[in-house]
Amino acid sequence: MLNSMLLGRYIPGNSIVHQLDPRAKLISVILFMITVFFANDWLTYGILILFILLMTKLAKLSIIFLLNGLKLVLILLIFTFFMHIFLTKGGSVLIDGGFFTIESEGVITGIFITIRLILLVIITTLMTLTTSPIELTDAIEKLCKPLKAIKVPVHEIAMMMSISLRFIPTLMDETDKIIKAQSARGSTFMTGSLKSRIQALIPVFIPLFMSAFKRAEEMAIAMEVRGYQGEAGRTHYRLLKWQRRDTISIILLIMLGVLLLWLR
Amino acid sequence: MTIEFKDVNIIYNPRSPFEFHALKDINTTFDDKKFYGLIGHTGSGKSTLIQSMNGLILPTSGVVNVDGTILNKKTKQKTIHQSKMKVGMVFQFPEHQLFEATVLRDVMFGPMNMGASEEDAKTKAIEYLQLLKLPEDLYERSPFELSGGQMRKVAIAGILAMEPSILILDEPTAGLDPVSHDETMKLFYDVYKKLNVTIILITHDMDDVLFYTDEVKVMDKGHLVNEGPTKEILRDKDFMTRYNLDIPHVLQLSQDLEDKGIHLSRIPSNFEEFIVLYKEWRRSHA
Repeated sequence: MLNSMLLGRYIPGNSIVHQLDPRAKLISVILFMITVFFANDWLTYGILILFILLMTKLAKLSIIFLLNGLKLVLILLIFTFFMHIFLTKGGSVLIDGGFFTIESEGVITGIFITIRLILLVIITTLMTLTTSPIELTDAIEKLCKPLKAIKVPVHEIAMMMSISLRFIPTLMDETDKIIKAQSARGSTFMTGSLKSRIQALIPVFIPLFMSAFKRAEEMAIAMEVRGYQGEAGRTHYRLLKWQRRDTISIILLIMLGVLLLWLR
Repeated sequence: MTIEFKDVNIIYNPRSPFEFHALKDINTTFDDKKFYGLIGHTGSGKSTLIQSMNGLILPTSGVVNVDGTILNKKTKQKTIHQSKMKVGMVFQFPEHQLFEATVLRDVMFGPMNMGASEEDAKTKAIEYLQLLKLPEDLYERSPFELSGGQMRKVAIAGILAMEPSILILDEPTAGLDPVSHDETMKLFYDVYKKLNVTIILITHDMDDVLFYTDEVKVMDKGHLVNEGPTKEILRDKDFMTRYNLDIPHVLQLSQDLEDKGIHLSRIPSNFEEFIVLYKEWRRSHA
Protein backbone atom coordinates (compact mmCIF):
# COMPACT_ATOMS: atom_id res chain seq x y z
CA MET A 1 0.00 0.00 0.00
CA LEU A 2 2.69 2.45 1.02
CA ASN A 3 4.85 1.36 -1.87
CA SER A 4 2.88 3.41 -4.39
CA MET A 5 3.52 6.50 -2.32
CA LEU A 6 5.49 8.92 -4.49
CA LEU A 7 4.83 12.02 -2.43
CA GLY A 8 8.06 13.44 -1.07
CA ARG A 9 10.21 10.81 -2.74
CA TYR A 10 13.29 11.76 -4.69
CA ILE A 11 14.89 9.80 -7.50
CA PRO A 12 18.49 10.92 -8.02
CA GLY A 13 19.46 11.54 -11.63
CA ASN A 14 21.28 13.92 -13.89
CA SER A 15 18.66 14.94 -16.42
CA ILE A 16 18.25 18.57 -17.42
CA VAL A 17 15.27 18.81 -15.06
CA HIS A 18 17.34 17.47 -12.17
CA GLN A 19 20.04 20.04 -12.88
CA LEU A 20 17.79 23.08 -12.87
CA ASP A 21 18.17 25.42 -9.93
CA PRO A 22 15.58 24.41 -7.31
CA ARG A 23 14.42 28.02 -7.12
CA ALA A 24 13.74 27.96 -10.85
CA LYS A 25 11.84 24.71 -10.47
CA LEU A 26 9.77 26.03 -7.61
CA ILE A 27 8.85 29.23 -9.47
CA SER A 28 8.13 27.24 -12.62
CA VAL A 29 5.79 24.91 -10.77
CA ILE A 30 3.92 27.85 -9.28
CA LEU A 31 3.66 29.45 -12.74
CA PHE A 32 2.40 26.17 -14.19
CA MET A 33 -0.19 25.84 -11.46
CA ILE A 34 -1.52 29.29 -12.31
CA THR A 35 -1.45 28.45 -16.02
CA VAL A 36 -3.50 25.31 -15.47
CA PHE A 37 -6.40 27.48 -14.38
CA PHE A 38 -6.34 29.36 -17.71
CA ALA A 39 -7.14 26.22 -19.68
CA ASN A 40 -10.79 25.87 -20.62
CA ASP A 41 -11.12 23.75 -23.77
CA TRP A 42 -9.69 20.65 -25.44
CA LEU A 43 -6.91 22.56 -27.21
CA THR A 44 -5.58 24.31 -24.12
CA TYR A 45 -5.77 21.17 -21.97
CA GLY A 46 -4.09 19.28 -24.80
CA ILE A 47 -1.18 21.73 -24.80
CA LEU A 48 -0.75 21.34 -21.04
CA ILE A 49 -0.80 17.55 -21.28
CA LEU A 50 1.79 17.71 -24.05
CA PHE A 51 3.92 20.00 -21.89
CA ILE A 52 3.77 17.53 -18.98
CA LEU A 53 4.68 14.62 -21.26
CA LEU A 54 7.63 16.61 -22.56
CA MET A 55 8.82 17.44 -19.04
CA THR A 56 8.52 13.80 -17.99
CA LYS A 57 10.59 12.83 -21.00
CA LEU A 58 13.20 15.47 -20.16
CA ALA A 59 13.35 14.24 -16.56
CA LYS A 60 13.90 10.70 -17.87
CA LEU A 61 10.96 9.33 -15.91
CA SER A 62 8.25 7.06 -17.24
CA ILE A 63 4.74 8.52 -17.42
CA ILE A 64 3.26 5.15 -16.41
CA PHE A 65 5.25 5.32 -13.21
CA LEU A 66 3.90 8.81 -12.52
CA LEU A 67 0.34 7.72 -13.26
CA ASN A 68 0.79 4.83 -10.81
CA GLY A 69 1.60 7.44 -8.21
CA LEU A 70 -1.85 8.92 -8.73
CA LYS A 71 -3.43 5.93 -6.99
CA LEU A 72 -3.23 7.81 -3.73
CA VAL A 73 -5.53 10.58 -4.97
CA LEU A 74 -7.69 8.25 -7.04
CA ILE A 75 -10.67 8.52 -4.69
CA LEU A 76 -10.49 12.31 -4.83
CA LEU A 77 -10.36 12.20 -8.64
CA ILE A 78 -13.32 9.85 -8.95
CA PHE A 79 -15.32 11.84 -6.43
CA THR A 80 -14.69 15.13 -8.26
CA PHE A 81 -15.55 13.55 -11.59
CA PHE A 82 -18.89 12.20 -10.42
CA MET A 83 -19.81 15.36 -8.53
CA HIS A 84 -19.51 17.27 -11.80
CA ILE A 85 -21.34 14.65 -13.82
CA PHE A 86 -24.35 14.76 -11.55
CA LEU A 87 -24.38 18.36 -10.42
CA THR A 88 -23.17 20.48 -13.35
CA LYS A 89 -26.08 21.23 -15.66
CA GLY A 90 -26.18 22.53 -19.20
CA GLY A 91 -26.03 21.29 -22.76
CA SER A 92 -28.03 18.32 -24.01
CA VAL A 93 -29.44 15.68 -21.67
CA LEU A 94 -27.50 12.44 -22.13
CA ILE A 95 -29.22 10.21 -19.57
CA ASP A 96 -32.50 10.93 -17.82
CA GLY A 97 -32.73 8.64 -14.81
CA GLY A 98 -35.87 10.23 -13.37
CA PHE A 99 -34.62 11.78 -10.18
CA PHE A 100 -31.28 12.66 -11.78
CA THR A 101 -30.04 13.72 -15.18
CA ILE A 102 -26.60 13.57 -16.72
CA GLU A 103 -26.00 16.43 -19.10
CA SER A 104 -23.23 16.91 -21.65
CA GLU A 105 -21.85 20.00 -19.94
CA GLY A 106 -21.44 18.03 -16.71
CA VAL A 107 -19.47 15.25 -18.42
CA ILE A 108 -17.14 17.71 -20.12
CA THR A 109 -16.55 19.79 -16.99
CA GLY A 110 -15.99 16.57 -15.06
CA ILE A 111 -13.30 15.47 -17.48
CA PHE A 112 -11.64 18.90 -17.52
CA ILE A 113 -11.54 19.27 -13.75
CA THR A 114 -10.18 15.75 -13.36
CA ILE A 115 -7.45 16.48 -15.91
CA ARG A 116 -6.71 19.71 -14.06
CA LEU A 117 -6.24 17.85 -10.77
CA ILE A 118 -4.08 15.19 -12.43
CA LEU A 119 -1.89 17.88 -13.99
CA LEU A 120 -1.46 19.62 -10.66
CA VAL A 121 -0.52 16.42 -8.88
CA ILE A 122 1.87 15.31 -11.61
CA ILE A 123 3.73 18.62 -11.87
CA THR A 124 4.34 18.74 -8.12
CA THR A 125 5.33 15.06 -8.07
CA LEU A 126 7.69 15.77 -10.95
CA MET A 127 9.31 18.50 -8.90
CA THR A 128 9.76 16.42 -5.74
CA LEU A 129 10.98 13.43 -7.74
CA THR A 130 13.73 15.48 -9.37
CA THR A 131 14.66 17.76 -6.48
CA SER A 132 16.19 16.53 -3.26
CA PRO A 133 14.36 17.73 -0.14
CA ILE A 134 17.44 19.66 0.95
CA GLU A 135 17.58 21.58 -2.30
CA LEU A 136 13.90 22.29 -2.06
CA THR A 137 14.04 23.76 1.42
CA ASP A 138 17.13 25.72 0.45
CA ALA A 139 15.12 27.19 -2.39
CA ILE A 140 12.21 28.02 -0.15
CA GLU A 141 14.51 29.66 2.36
CA LYS A 142 16.15 31.77 -0.34
CA LEU A 143 12.88 32.76 -1.98
CA CYS A 144 11.30 33.73 1.33
CA LYS A 145 14.29 35.80 2.49
CA PRO A 146 12.48 39.09 1.92
CA LEU A 147 9.93 38.07 4.56
CA LYS A 148 12.65 38.45 7.15
CA ALA A 149 12.12 42.17 6.98
CA ILE A 150 8.76 41.64 8.68
CA LYS A 151 10.35 39.31 11.28
CA VAL A 152 9.25 35.99 9.84
CA PRO A 153 11.71 33.33 11.12
CA VAL A 154 12.46 32.09 7.60
CA HIS A 155 15.51 30.02 8.49
CA GLU A 156 13.78 28.25 11.37
CA ILE A 157 10.75 27.46 9.24
CA ALA A 158 12.99 26.10 6.49
CA MET A 159 14.87 23.99 9.01
CA MET A 160 11.61 22.61 10.35
CA MET A 161 10.51 21.80 6.83
CA SER A 162 13.69 20.01 5.92
CA ILE A 163 13.57 17.97 9.10
CA SER A 164 9.96 17.01 8.41
CA LEU A 165 10.74 16.08 4.82
CA ARG A 166 13.76 14.13 5.97
CA PHE A 167 11.61 12.06 8.30
CA ILE A 168 8.79 11.24 5.89
CA PRO A 169 10.54 8.11 4.54
CA THR A 170 11.71 7.14 8.03
CA LEU A 171 8.20 7.36 9.43
CA MET A 172 6.87 5.50 6.39
CA ASP A 173 9.28 2.65 7.04
CA GLU A 174 8.38 2.72 10.69
CA THR A 175 4.66 2.60 9.91
CA ASP A 176 5.24 -0.27 7.54
CA LYS A 177 7.13 -2.20 10.21
CA ILE A 178 4.51 -1.60 12.89
CA ILE A 179 1.67 -2.55 10.54
CA LYS A 180 3.51 -5.77 9.80
CA ALA A 181 4.19 -6.52 13.45
CA GLN A 182 0.58 -5.91 14.43
CA SER A 183 -0.89 -7.81 11.54
CA ALA A 184 1.41 -10.71 12.40
CA ARG A 185 -0.40 -10.59 15.75
CA GLY A 186 -3.68 -11.02 13.91
CA SER A 187 -4.74 -7.38 13.61
CA THR A 188 -6.92 -6.91 10.55
CA PHE A 189 -6.76 -3.76 8.46
CA MET A 190 -8.14 -5.12 5.23
CA THR A 191 -11.26 -6.95 6.41
CA GLY A 192 -14.15 -6.36 8.76
CA SER A 193 -16.50 -3.43 9.31
CA LEU A 194 -15.41 0.18 9.03
CA LYS A 195 -15.49 0.42 12.82
CA SER A 196 -13.17 -2.54 13.33
CA ARG A 197 -10.81 -1.25 10.67
CA ILE A 198 -10.57 2.11 12.38
CA GLN A 199 -10.02 0.38 15.71
CA ALA A 200 -7.22 -1.62 14.10
CA LEU A 201 -5.38 1.67 13.57
CA ILE A 202 -4.94 2.31 17.31
CA PRO A 203 -2.24 -0.39 17.66
CA VAL A 204 -0.42 1.29 14.79
CA PHE A 205 -0.67 4.92 15.83
CA ILE A 206 0.30 4.60 19.47
CA PRO A 207 3.66 2.89 18.81
CA LEU A 208 4.22 5.26 15.89
CA PHE A 209 3.71 8.34 18.07
CA MET A 210 5.87 6.86 20.79
CA SER A 211 8.78 6.40 18.44
CA ALA A 212 8.25 9.73 16.70
CA PHE A 213 8.41 11.60 20.01
CA LYS A 214 11.46 9.66 21.06
CA ARG A 215 13.14 10.37 17.75
CA ALA A 216 12.32 14.07 17.98
CA GLU A 217 13.85 14.28 21.42
CA GLU A 218 17.03 12.48 20.34
CA MET A 219 17.22 14.72 17.31
CA ALA A 220 16.89 17.85 19.43
CA ILE A 221 19.64 16.67 21.77
CA ALA A 222 21.89 15.74 18.86
CA MET A 223 21.43 19.21 17.35
CA GLU A 224 22.06 20.91 20.64
CA VAL A 225 25.28 19.06 21.43
CA ARG A 226 26.55 20.03 18.02
CA GLY A 227 25.96 23.63 18.89
CA TYR A 228 23.01 24.45 16.69
CA GLN A 229 21.70 27.90 17.55
CA GLY A 230 19.54 28.85 14.67
CA GLU A 231 20.71 30.87 11.75
CA ALA A 232 23.43 33.02 13.30
CA GLY A 233 26.75 32.44 11.59
CA ARG A 234 25.65 29.51 9.44
CA THR A 235 27.02 29.04 5.95
CA HIS A 236 25.83 26.70 3.21
CA TYR A 237 27.67 23.66 1.94
CA ARG A 238 25.63 23.62 -1.24
CA LEU A 239 25.50 26.97 -2.96
CA LEU A 240 22.63 27.57 -5.32
CA LYS A 241 23.79 28.98 -8.61
CA TRP A 242 21.37 30.64 -10.99
CA GLN A 243 22.24 29.86 -14.61
CA ARG A 244 20.99 30.81 -18.02
CA ARG A 245 18.87 27.64 -18.35
CA ASP A 246 17.01 28.62 -15.18
CA THR A 247 16.05 31.97 -16.64
CA ILE A 248 15.04 30.22 -19.85
CA SER A 249 12.80 27.77 -18.03
CA ILE A 250 10.94 30.58 -16.33
CA ILE A 251 10.57 32.53 -19.58
CA LEU A 252 9.19 29.37 -21.20
CA LEU A 253 6.63 28.95 -18.44
CA ILE A 254 5.53 32.59 -18.76
CA MET A 255 5.21 32.12 -22.52
CA LEU A 256 3.10 29.01 -21.94
CA GLY A 257 0.81 31.04 -19.67
CA VAL A 258 0.49 33.87 -22.20
CA LEU A 259 -0.21 31.37 -25.00
CA LEU A 260 -3.02 29.83 -23.01
CA LEU A 261 -4.48 33.21 -22.10
CA TRP A 262 -4.48 34.09 -25.79
CA LEU A 263 -6.01 30.78 -26.92
CA ARG A 264 -8.83 30.53 -24.40
CA MET B 1 3.83 -28.44 10.60
CA THR B 2 5.87 -27.72 7.50
CA ILE B 3 6.34 -24.73 5.25
CA GLU B 4 7.05 -25.41 1.62
CA PHE B 5 8.30 -22.91 -0.97
CA LYS B 6 7.74 -23.73 -4.61
CA ASP B 7 9.33 -21.54 -7.34
CA VAL B 8 8.78 -18.44 -5.24
CA ASN B 9 9.75 -15.06 -6.70
CA ILE B 10 9.13 -11.75 -5.02
CA ILE B 11 9.59 -8.42 -6.77
CA TYR B 12 9.06 -5.14 -4.95
CA ASN B 13 7.67 -2.13 -6.81
CA PRO B 14 7.55 -3.86 -10.18
CA ARG B 15 7.85 -1.62 -13.24
CA SER B 16 9.18 1.40 -11.38
CA PRO B 17 12.63 2.87 -10.79
CA PHE B 18 12.46 1.28 -7.32
CA GLU B 19 11.98 -2.24 -8.73
CA PHE B 20 13.79 -4.82 -6.64
CA HIS B 21 13.92 -8.57 -7.18
CA ALA B 22 14.10 -9.75 -3.56
CA LEU B 23 13.58 -13.50 -3.92
CA LYS B 24 14.60 -15.55 -6.93
CA ASP B 25 13.20 -19.03 -7.60
CA ILE B 26 13.12 -20.23 -4.01
CA ASN B 27 12.44 -23.95 -3.59
CA THR B 28 12.81 -25.27 -0.07
CA THR B 29 11.04 -26.84 2.87
CA PHE B 30 11.05 -26.08 6.59
CA ASP B 31 10.29 -29.30 8.46
CA ASP B 32 8.32 -29.77 11.64
CA LYS B 33 9.85 -29.07 15.05
CA LYS B 34 13.36 -28.25 13.95
CA PHE B 35 15.44 -25.26 14.93
CA TYR B 36 16.49 -23.48 11.75
CA GLY B 37 19.01 -20.75 11.20
CA LEU B 38 18.55 -18.39 8.27
CA ILE B 39 21.76 -16.57 7.46
CA GLY B 40 23.07 -14.28 4.76
CA HIS B 41 24.41 -10.82 4.23
CA THR B 42 22.28 -7.69 4.71
CA GLY B 43 19.88 -7.37 1.79
CA SER B 44 20.14 -11.03 0.86
CA GLY B 45 16.38 -11.56 1.16
CA LYS B 46 16.12 -13.20 4.59
CA SER B 47 13.48 -10.81 5.89
CA THR B 48 11.46 -11.08 2.70
CA LEU B 49 11.59 -14.86 2.93
CA ILE B 50 10.19 -14.98 6.46
CA GLN B 51 7.56 -12.34 5.75
CA SER B 52 6.21 -14.47 2.94
CA MET B 53 5.57 -17.27 5.45
CA ASN B 54 2.56 -15.58 6.99
CA GLY B 55 1.31 -13.54 4.08
CA LEU B 56 2.80 -10.19 5.07
CA ILE B 57 4.25 -10.26 1.57
CA LEU B 58 2.64 -12.39 -1.11
CA PRO B 59 4.78 -14.07 -3.77
CA THR B 60 4.87 -12.33 -7.15
CA SER B 61 4.95 -15.83 -8.60
CA GLY B 62 5.09 -19.30 -7.11
CA VAL B 63 3.43 -20.80 -4.06
CA VAL B 64 4.12 -20.88 -0.33
CA ASN B 65 2.38 -23.76 1.40
CA VAL B 66 2.02 -23.16 5.15
CA ASP B 67 0.77 -26.47 6.47
CA GLY B 68 -1.97 -26.69 3.87
CA THR B 69 -2.71 -22.97 3.65
CA ILE B 70 -1.75 -21.93 0.13
CA LEU B 71 -0.30 -18.45 -0.30
CA ASN B 72 0.13 -17.08 -3.80
CA LYS B 73 -0.40 -13.86 -5.71
CA LYS B 74 -4.19 -14.07 -5.52
CA THR B 75 -4.68 -15.29 -1.95
CA LYS B 76 -7.59 -13.61 -0.12
CA GLN B 77 -7.19 -11.76 3.18
CA LYS B 78 -9.21 -14.42 5.03
CA THR B 79 -6.78 -17.16 4.03
CA ILE B 80 -3.82 -14.96 4.89
CA HIS B 81 -5.32 -14.50 8.35
CA GLN B 82 -5.23 -18.30 8.82
CA SER B 83 -1.53 -18.43 8.07
CA LYS B 84 -0.93 -15.69 10.65
CA MET B 85 -2.53 -17.84 13.29
CA LYS B 86 -0.01 -20.59 12.61
CA VAL B 87 3.13 -18.50 12.34
CA GLY B 88 4.28 -16.27 15.18
CA MET B 89 6.77 -13.59 14.30
CA VAL B 90 9.14 -11.75 16.60
CA PHE B 91 10.49 -8.74 14.72
CA GLN B 92 13.60 -6.73 15.43
CA PHE B 93 12.96 -4.52 18.44
CA PRO B 94 9.61 -6.16 19.20
CA GLU B 95 9.08 -3.70 22.06
CA HIS B 96 8.18 -1.10 19.41
CA GLN B 97 4.85 -2.81 18.86
CA LEU B 98 3.52 -2.32 22.40
CA PHE B 99 0.47 -0.07 22.59
CA GLU B 100 -2.04 -1.17 25.22
CA ALA B 101 -2.80 0.48 28.54
CA THR B 102 -1.53 -2.44 30.59
CA VAL B 103 0.99 -5.23 30.11
CA LEU B 104 -1.69 -7.88 30.48
CA ARG B 105 -3.96 -6.32 27.89
CA ASP B 106 -1.10 -6.04 25.43
CA VAL B 107 -0.31 -9.74 25.70
CA MET B 108 -4.03 -10.51 25.31
CA PHE B 109 -4.18 -8.62 22.01
CA GLY B 110 -2.99 -11.54 19.85
CA PRO B 111 -5.18 -14.26 21.36
CA MET B 112 -8.24 -11.97 21.17
CA ASN B 113 -7.55 -11.32 17.47
CA MET B 114 -7.60 -15.08 17.03
CA GLY B 115 -11.08 -15.14 18.46
CA ALA B 116 -10.35 -16.23 22.03
CA SER B 117 -12.74 -15.03 24.73
CA GLU B 118 -11.51 -12.41 27.19
CA GLU B 119 -11.27 -15.08 29.92
CA ASP B 120 -9.18 -17.46 27.78
CA ALA B 121 -6.97 -14.69 26.49
CA LYS B 122 -6.26 -13.61 30.06
CA THR B 123 -5.37 -17.15 31.12
CA LYS B 124 -3.00 -17.51 28.20
CA ALA B 125 -1.46 -14.11 28.76
CA ILE B 126 -0.69 -14.94 32.39
CA GLU B 127 0.64 -18.35 31.42
CA TYR B 128 3.20 -16.91 29.00
CA LEU B 129 4.13 -13.92 31.13
CA GLN B 130 4.96 -16.46 33.84
CA LEU B 131 6.92 -18.56 31.38
CA LEU B 132 9.06 -15.52 30.63
CA LYS B 133 9.38 -14.84 34.36
CA LEU B 134 7.96 -11.35 34.32
CA PRO B 135 7.19 -10.20 37.90
CA GLU B 136 3.46 -10.38 38.61
CA ASP B 137 3.21 -6.86 40.00
CA LEU B 138 3.98 -5.49 36.54
CA TYR B 139 0.91 -7.03 34.86
CA GLU B 140 -1.32 -4.04 35.52
CA ARG B 141 1.36 -1.43 34.76
CA SER B 142 1.67 0.47 31.50
CA PRO B 143 4.15 -1.29 29.21
CA PHE B 144 5.83 2.06 28.57
CA GLU B 145 6.92 2.32 32.22
CA LEU B 146 9.00 -0.87 32.02
CA SER B 147 12.69 -1.23 31.33
CA GLY B 148 13.84 -2.08 27.81
CA GLY B 149 14.45 -5.72 28.63
CA GLN B 150 11.08 -6.10 30.32
CA MET B 151 9.32 -4.45 27.39
CA ARG B 152 10.92 -6.93 25.06
CA LYS B 153 9.73 -9.80 27.24
CA VAL B 154 6.18 -8.47 27.19
CA ALA B 155 6.28 -8.21 23.40
CA ILE B 156 7.61 -11.75 23.09
CA ALA B 157 4.94 -13.05 25.49
CA GLY B 158 2.36 -11.33 23.27
CA ILE B 159 3.48 -13.47 20.36
CA LEU B 160 3.87 -16.72 22.31
CA ALA B 161 0.37 -16.27 23.73
CA MET B 162 -1.00 -16.86 20.24
CA GLU B 163 0.49 -20.36 20.53
CA PRO B 164 1.90 -20.51 17.02
CA SER B 165 3.36 -23.80 15.83
CA ILE B 166 6.12 -21.96 14.00
CA LEU B 167 8.05 -19.18 15.66
CA ILE B 168 10.10 -16.85 13.51
CA LEU B 169 12.75 -14.72 15.18
CA ASP B 170 14.14 -11.81 13.16
CA GLU B 171 17.35 -10.80 14.96
CA PRO B 172 15.73 -11.02 18.38
CA THR B 173 18.91 -10.00 20.17
CA ALA B 174 19.67 -6.86 18.16
CA GLY B 175 20.81 -4.05 20.45
CA LEU B 176 21.09 -6.17 23.59
CA ASP B 177 24.09 -6.31 25.91
CA PRO B 178 25.94 -9.68 26.07
CA VAL B 179 24.19 -10.82 29.25
CA SER B 180 20.69 -10.06 27.98
CA HIS B 181 21.69 -11.56 24.67
CA ASP B 182 22.48 -14.92 26.27
CA GLU B 183 19.37 -14.72 28.44
CA THR B 184 17.13 -14.07 25.48
CA MET B 185 18.61 -16.87 23.40
CA LYS B 186 18.31 -19.33 26.31
CA LEU B 187 14.73 -18.21 26.73
CA PHE B 188 13.91 -19.03 23.14
CA TYR B 189 15.66 -22.36 23.43
CA ASP B 190 13.54 -23.11 26.50
CA VAL B 191 10.44 -22.18 24.57
CA TYR B 192 11.58 -24.44 21.75
CA LYS B 193 12.02 -27.39 24.12
CA LYS B 194 8.88 -26.77 26.18
CA LEU B 195 6.37 -25.82 23.53
CA ASN B 196 7.55 -28.18 20.82
CA VAL B 197 7.53 -25.63 18.01
CA THR B 198 9.51 -25.06 14.84
CA ILE B 199 11.86 -22.11 15.17
CA ILE B 200 13.42 -20.10 12.38
CA LEU B 201 16.14 -17.76 13.60
CA ILE B 202 17.58 -14.91 11.56
CA THR B 203 20.82 -13.64 13.02
CA HIS B 204 24.29 -12.42 12.21
CA ASP B 205 25.70 -14.09 15.30
CA MET B 206 27.26 -17.29 13.98
CA ASP B 207 28.03 -18.55 17.49
CA ASP B 208 24.29 -18.60 18.19
CA VAL B 209 23.63 -20.33 14.89
CA LEU B 210 26.17 -23.05 15.69
CA PHE B 211 24.98 -23.50 19.26
CA TYR B 212 21.22 -23.51 18.83
CA THR B 213 20.21 -24.51 15.32
CA ASP B 214 19.89 -27.97 13.74
CA GLU B 215 19.93 -26.81 10.18
CA VAL B 216 20.79 -23.62 8.31
CA LYS B 217 19.67 -22.07 5.07
CA VAL B 218 21.98 -19.54 3.46
CA MET B 219 20.68 -16.66 1.32
CA ASP B 220 22.61 -14.46 -1.07
CA LYS B 221 21.24 -11.77 -3.40
CA GLY B 222 17.77 -13.31 -3.34
CA HIS B 223 18.95 -16.84 -4.02
CA LEU B 224 18.97 -19.73 -1.59
CA VAL B 225 22.60 -20.80 -2.01
CA ASN B 226 22.92 -23.61 0.51
CA GLU B 227 21.00 -25.61 3.09
CA GLY B 228 21.79 -28.49 5.38
CA PRO B 229 23.01 -29.51 8.85
CA THR B 230 24.46 -26.51 10.69
CA LYS B 231 27.90 -27.88 11.52
CA GLU B 232 28.60 -29.09 8.01
CA ILE B 233 27.85 -25.74 6.43
CA LEU B 234 29.47 -23.52 9.06
CA ARG B 235 32.67 -25.56 8.88
CA ASP B 236 33.06 -25.02 5.15
CA LYS B 237 35.55 -22.19 5.25
CA ASP B 238 35.64 -21.54 1.49
CA PHE B 239 31.89 -21.37 1.30
CA MET B 240 31.55 -19.09 4.32
CA THR B 241 34.18 -16.61 3.12
CA ARG B 242 32.73 -16.60 -0.40
CA TYR B 243 29.45 -15.30 1.02
CA ASN B 244 31.10 -12.93 3.51
CA LEU B 245 29.93 -14.87 6.54
CA ASP B 246 31.90 -15.18 9.76
CA ILE B 247 33.02 -18.55 10.99
CA PRO B 248 31.87 -19.22 14.58
CA HIS B 249 34.63 -18.59 17.09
CA VAL B 250 34.65 -22.14 18.42
CA LEU B 251 34.98 -23.62 14.96
CA GLN B 252 37.74 -21.16 14.10
CA LEU B 253 39.56 -22.11 17.29
CA SER B 254 39.32 -25.86 16.75
CA GLN B 255 40.39 -25.30 13.14
CA ASP B 256 43.48 -23.39 14.34
CA LEU B 257 44.28 -26.26 16.75
CA GLU B 258 43.82 -28.75 13.94
CA ASP B 259 46.42 -26.85 11.91
CA LYS B 260 48.82 -27.20 14.83
CA GLY B 261 48.24 -30.93 14.92
CA ILE B 262 45.80 -31.04 17.82
CA HIS B 263 42.88 -33.22 16.73
CA LEU B 264 39.84 -33.14 18.99
CA SER B 265 37.67 -36.28 19.02
CA ARG B 266 34.73 -34.37 17.50
CA ILE B 267 33.73 -30.87 16.52
CA PRO B 268 32.47 -28.81 19.47
CA SER B 269 29.43 -26.60 19.11
CA ASN B 270 30.11 -24.28 22.05
CA PHE B 271 32.91 -23.28 24.37
CA GLU B 272 31.90 -25.57 27.25
CA GLU B 273 32.02 -28.54 24.92
CA PHE B 274 35.31 -27.30 23.54
CA ILE B 275 36.86 -27.18 27.00
CA VAL B 276 35.73 -30.73 27.76
CA LEU B 277 37.10 -32.01 24.47
CA TYR B 278 40.36 -30.16 24.87
CA LYS B 279 40.91 -31.51 28.39
CA GLU B 280 40.18 -34.97 26.99
CA TRP B 281 42.86 -34.45 24.37
CA ARG B 282 45.34 -33.22 26.96
CA ARG B 283 44.73 -36.26 29.10
CA SER B 284 45.20 -38.65 26.18
CA HIS B 285 48.42 -36.89 25.17
CA ALA B 286 49.86 -36.44 28.63
